[in-house]
Amino acid sequence: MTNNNLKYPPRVLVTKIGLDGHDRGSRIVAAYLRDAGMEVIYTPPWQEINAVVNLALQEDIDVIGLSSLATDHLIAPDLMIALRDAGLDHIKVIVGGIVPANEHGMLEDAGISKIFEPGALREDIVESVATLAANARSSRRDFEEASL
Amino acid sequence: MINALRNGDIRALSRAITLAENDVPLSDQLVNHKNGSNVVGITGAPGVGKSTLINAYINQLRADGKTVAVLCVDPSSPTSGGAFLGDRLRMSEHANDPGVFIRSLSARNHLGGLCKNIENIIKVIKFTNAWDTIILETVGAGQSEVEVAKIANCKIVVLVPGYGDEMQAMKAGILEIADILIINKSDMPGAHHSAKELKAMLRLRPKSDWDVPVLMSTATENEGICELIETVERFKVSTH
Repeated sequence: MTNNNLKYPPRVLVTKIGLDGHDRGSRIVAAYLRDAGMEVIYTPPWQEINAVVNLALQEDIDVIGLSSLATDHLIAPDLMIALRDAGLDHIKVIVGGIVPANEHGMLEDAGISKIFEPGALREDIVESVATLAANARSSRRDFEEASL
Repeated sequence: MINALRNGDIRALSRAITLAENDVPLSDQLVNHKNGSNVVGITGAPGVGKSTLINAYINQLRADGKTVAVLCVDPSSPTSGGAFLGDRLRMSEHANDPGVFIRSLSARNHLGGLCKNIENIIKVIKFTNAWDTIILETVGAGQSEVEVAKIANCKIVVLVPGYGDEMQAMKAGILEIADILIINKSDMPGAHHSAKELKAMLRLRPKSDWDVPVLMSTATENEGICELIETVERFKVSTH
């Protein structure tokens, strides 16, 4: 048996990095994912990138959802680098909120898997997170043996 | 995996907890490993301040140079099976401290206040020999979520002023499993009255080697935490 055969709910971190405190959106998305049967670890806004990486490490997260309503996504590439440095490059990261069209390319180049804009539908977000969680698990290359 | 775990690799610990949580059986070397970490269980009704108390408890343990692993169990939805794991948001000041490990667990509809494989998860943590204290936070407990009694070395039941009258204090269940009772939010009115009622209830119990103390705390102000830790230590000595 490999890790990928383990069946358990997606573990998703819903958080905000940077200085913006508008957290209604992240709370709503956290509730969507919980109601879809996922295990959601939620944090308040204003998280440091190092703290997010440590949290993802300790909680064995599959997907990180970043809410960005006031340019916080501009430091998302720094988070991607920090995750890679911590050996967590299997974790998929999505961004939701206000992301101007001309900044999408920069985020995609940094490795962000998906960007959700205002008006995104609940079912699209849920489906996307579920697919990305499965991808995260199958792309994982450390500790492939599932024995203790 | 086993070697990485033994070497204190946090990624291995995190992954091993996931495996244990998801029914992967433990090998004999994990099962038989001996380690003296103190497992402290913290339980009480929703909203009494368990997570905030644990945050203050971590502060004090770290000031004393002790490492601490925390397992926070939160309830799962009986309909979707999903969970909103929010205990660690009260402990976020420890996010960058390598001497603190926090893991959130969903109860996954297991009754009793913890999750199904909690004992194996504790064995995984103990196998690393890296954590002096293991704190176990139950879901917000009602009157009979008392599974923590079997698992923790020391059980702390957290109450708030005005939790009920003497009749509540007489009831069987969660108050009975306490090694230590603590009234948190003790800056609120009625704290001393509640403490008096609990002490009156405790006097009706048969004599034993350990008299359950009734402590007071205001976790948001770090008040009463030193006394709590001293009492946990005293309890450990008395039960040896």
